[in-house]
Amino acid sequence: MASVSLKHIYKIYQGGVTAVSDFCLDIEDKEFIVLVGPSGCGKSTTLRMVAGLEEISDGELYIGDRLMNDVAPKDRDIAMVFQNYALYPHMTVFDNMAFGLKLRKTPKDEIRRRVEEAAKILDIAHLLNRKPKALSGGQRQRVALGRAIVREPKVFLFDEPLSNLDAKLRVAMRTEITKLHQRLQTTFIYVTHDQTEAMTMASRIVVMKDGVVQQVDTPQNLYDFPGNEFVAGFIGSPQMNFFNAKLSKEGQDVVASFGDNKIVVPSAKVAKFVDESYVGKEVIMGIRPENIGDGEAMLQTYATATINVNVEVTEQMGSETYLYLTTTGKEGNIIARVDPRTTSRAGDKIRVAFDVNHLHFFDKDTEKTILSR
Amino acid sequence: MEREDDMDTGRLESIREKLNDVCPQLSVHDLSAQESRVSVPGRIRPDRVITEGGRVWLQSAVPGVCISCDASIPGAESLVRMAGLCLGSAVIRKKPPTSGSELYRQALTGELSGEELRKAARNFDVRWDAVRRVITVFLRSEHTSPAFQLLRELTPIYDRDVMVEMDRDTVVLILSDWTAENVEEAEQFAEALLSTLMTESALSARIGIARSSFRLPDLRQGYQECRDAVEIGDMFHPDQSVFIWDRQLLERFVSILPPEITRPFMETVFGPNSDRCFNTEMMETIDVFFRKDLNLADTSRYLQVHRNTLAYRLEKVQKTVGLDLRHFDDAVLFKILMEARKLMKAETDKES
Repeated sequence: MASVSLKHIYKIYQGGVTAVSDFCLDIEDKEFIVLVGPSGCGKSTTLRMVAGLEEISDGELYIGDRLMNDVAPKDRDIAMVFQNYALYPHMTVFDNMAFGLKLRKTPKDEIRRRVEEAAKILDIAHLLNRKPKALSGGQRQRVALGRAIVREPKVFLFDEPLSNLDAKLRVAMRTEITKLHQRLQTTFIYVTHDQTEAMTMASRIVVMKDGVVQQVDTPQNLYDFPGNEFVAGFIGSPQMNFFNAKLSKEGQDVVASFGDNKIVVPSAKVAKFVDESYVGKEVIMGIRPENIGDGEAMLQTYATATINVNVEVTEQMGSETYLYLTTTGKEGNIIARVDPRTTSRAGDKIRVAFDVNHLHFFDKDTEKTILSR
Repeated sequence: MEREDDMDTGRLESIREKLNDVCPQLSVHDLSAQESRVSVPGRIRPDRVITEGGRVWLQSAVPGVCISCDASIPGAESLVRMAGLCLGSAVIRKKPPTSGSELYRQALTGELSGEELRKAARNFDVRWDAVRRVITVFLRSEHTSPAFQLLRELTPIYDRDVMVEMDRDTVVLILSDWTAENVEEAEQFAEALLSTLMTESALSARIGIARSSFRLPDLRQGYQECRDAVEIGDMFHPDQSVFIWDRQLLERFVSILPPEITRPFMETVFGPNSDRCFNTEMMETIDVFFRKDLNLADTSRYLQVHRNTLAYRLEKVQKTVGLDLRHFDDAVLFKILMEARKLMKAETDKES
């Protein structure tokens, strides 16, 4: 068990391409940290630098108190689980799990003890004599986890371990990994491009883009208080709707206008603007799909925040329905997550209301939030 | 390999003159001698044709001798390959293998003729007929020890499997059907080996997998298939590391289509107006849709998107390029053009 500290870490490839820039993060012992971001954002490169598979161009990496920059991967006391969880087909589950330890010349008794203990944790003790072809996808993934567990590392590193699994198994394994973290009480660093995985598993999430950390926070805080437009759009599914809106004063009210639409911004929200001078300027306004509704109660509650829309597509999910809407002053679709009993259908012209207490505002140039917490 | 022991220098000069008489655009460079001024591409490798500086280059089987040809002449690549074969067979003095491992190496490179191979196989008690599969590991990360030494420590193989050193970066594994019964198991073995290399020694590699070989002389074809698989894989799937020859039929077909034929078709589909449509998300959607055999339900399940969203995306493709990917004929055309586009991108990247 150990803390991990990344201090001003850079990865610059030959030719000057910067993959990771000034990455700073203190990961506490036993924490479950998820690095998330789109493809090419530098999350896997960061993980590989922690693992020692990529050289650190600048900065310092500590595991516990020890500076690890020049320590060989096998001596870092880490274990890595990859996206590809392939097992040797000609070896039994036991041998697959034991192989790494054999390479390290671990005594036989010790190998047996560790493999059997890991198998018990993962509930695969009855599979130890089987070959991989006799296992299901989920069981194979557990064996891959077992290979990492037997090393008894201080830190576990996961590089998109679930992305090769089908959707159902992915959900099941998510829970398994969370349980494993609780049971092992070890530091986990996990990389994924899937924000749902990040939200459901992490103690804290690091959102990255273009090699730069955008925000580090708990899942709920990232969702409720995104620091910039990128984080707001990346976290949440379906993603937040954005509008190019102009803020202006109309009598006592501050109004956000886009196309033919006007929304009255509540005074409590205006009071949170970091700078009053945003009133009168163009900003980016954001609202999540679940904060847009077509029900009568919502239309009445937020009567000063309704707009006319055309329904393009409806997706009935059972527990909810997604409406894909268009309106003036908004390129592309607005997505609303509404009650499944909605009567709105593709082709309808309807009114929807915005829950203005959940509006987000971002600076048009810097894309940073203009709301204080 | 000590050059003096293996080749006839006088004969090299004579063959060189004859080749030059037949084709003046062809040059044979003896790098060990007077021709150190020749600027040979750094990435030149045995039996791998590369194009650089307007010439096609090949490192011949003769140590320190490479062949080049003006790239603009038709069939330049075939010409250097043929010249390489002539040179190798005429100049290198064949030495009978001194060990079983050397026998396998010579079988893989085709240095021994059928009868020589049969005789050597008897001497070293190597089975002529057996189901074997050639897997070739090309280490690509920097490594201080030879690949063979590293892999010998890290690869779990049975006694009946064979590991052969081809050069400093390349090792061939000849697996029996006990280790990998079919191509799927060979693929798993290769993927597991990649994981081992990565976790134990921070090494990365590309691995080519050939079809099954049934006789000893077939190993040569297997080795060639591995190298071709990696070469084709590098062009079409640069993000992958394991390449299976048997699954690259379409890629091989597309790779031999002349660009002047494919370009007009590609411009019809992937024109400037279609760039916005074919973003990363859309390409991933199409890729999964093809992998799931045009099955909407399986694709939407895999991508975790609603069926309507998937249909909406496919309609967007239809509106943009006029091809309905839900129909087999349109899907086939799109798939071929998509592969041709990858090839063109790989070649553009290489040039830049």
